[in-house]
Amino acid sequence: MKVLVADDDDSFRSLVIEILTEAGYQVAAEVNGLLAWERLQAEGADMAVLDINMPQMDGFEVLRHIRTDDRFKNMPVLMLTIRAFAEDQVAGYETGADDYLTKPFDAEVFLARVRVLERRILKD
Amino acid sequence: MIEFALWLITPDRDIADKWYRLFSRERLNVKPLPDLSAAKKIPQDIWGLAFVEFGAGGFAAPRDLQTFLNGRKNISVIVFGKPGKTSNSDISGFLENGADDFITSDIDEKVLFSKTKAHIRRLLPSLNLARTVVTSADGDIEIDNVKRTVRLGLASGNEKTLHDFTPKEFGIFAVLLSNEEHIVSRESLMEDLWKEKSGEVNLETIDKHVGTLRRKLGAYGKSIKTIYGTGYSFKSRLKEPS
Repeated sequence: MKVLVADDDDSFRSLVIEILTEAGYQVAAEVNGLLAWERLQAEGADMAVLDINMPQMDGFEVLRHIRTDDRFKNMPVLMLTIRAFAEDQVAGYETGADDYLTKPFDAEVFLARVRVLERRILKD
Repeated sequence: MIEFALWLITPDRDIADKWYRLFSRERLNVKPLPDLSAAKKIPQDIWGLAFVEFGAGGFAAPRDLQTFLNGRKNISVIVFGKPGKTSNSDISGFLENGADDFITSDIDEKVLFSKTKAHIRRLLPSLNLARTVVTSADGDIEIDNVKRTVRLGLASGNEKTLHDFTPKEFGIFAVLLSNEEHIVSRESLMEDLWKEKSGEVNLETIDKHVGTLRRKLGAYGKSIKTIYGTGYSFKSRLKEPS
């Protein structure tokens, strides 16, 4: 199961990579949305964990690309962000996010939410 | 036609009432249930989303979810709890045991609704496939927004189905029923039903449609109260003192 991770914050990105790798996931991590979108197109992935505030292309824009591309439109996407306002969460879900988690986060809960998304892939 | 329902499984009447109003207003088919044992009666062929409160009857531990979900592939579960009363370990336990999501009961209503839509989008790729039914709080009246029918007497035992409403009469009744016990202004009805043409229609037109709607509803027409100078309000007949 391959997870695309996009986060410009080094410490959060490293933490997410560590949690997912230890849980047995293959991780492809990028430092901004544009690189993440390019990597997704080149290599594909089973799900994505996207930060919102990133240089060059933000997480919402990456999500819009994903939802309008036939290859990835059904791919589960979890937004992982510091943006906790209700309007940000609404924007995330309306853009097509499957889940939305705010930083700082509990590693156990984050992993459980990733596993929910994995369960959906396996169910489909 | 896929039948789709949204269950609110909680003994907390305040939460059940608040979310019932929210989802009914959005024309979703909402069914409150007091506990997980009552949910066992849900037919296997219905698709739906169940909001289940942790601590509700029959749901004392995360693994109880597996018992509830056994064999039910067409139901997604969102567990909810009171703020600050659920540990991260419990939350991950719910998610590992089959829940699709966890929220707290103080969640912002806009976030709750957009999150719910995301779940429905996944369950039913086309939301239009859902048979959206709204039921009165006393369970005696049900309107089907797809079939455009009104069923009366469901709880009182004198069931009959009415089909002969004009689009405006049906629309007015749908809005009033979805906002049960709330005052709906004539201006709001005008905007909801006439949309961009609302400025071209007199408010008295609403009164005429309400008049014919009341006549077609017969005795049930009395449930639509006129709020003088403002608009209208619907209140279930069976909830009124006898």
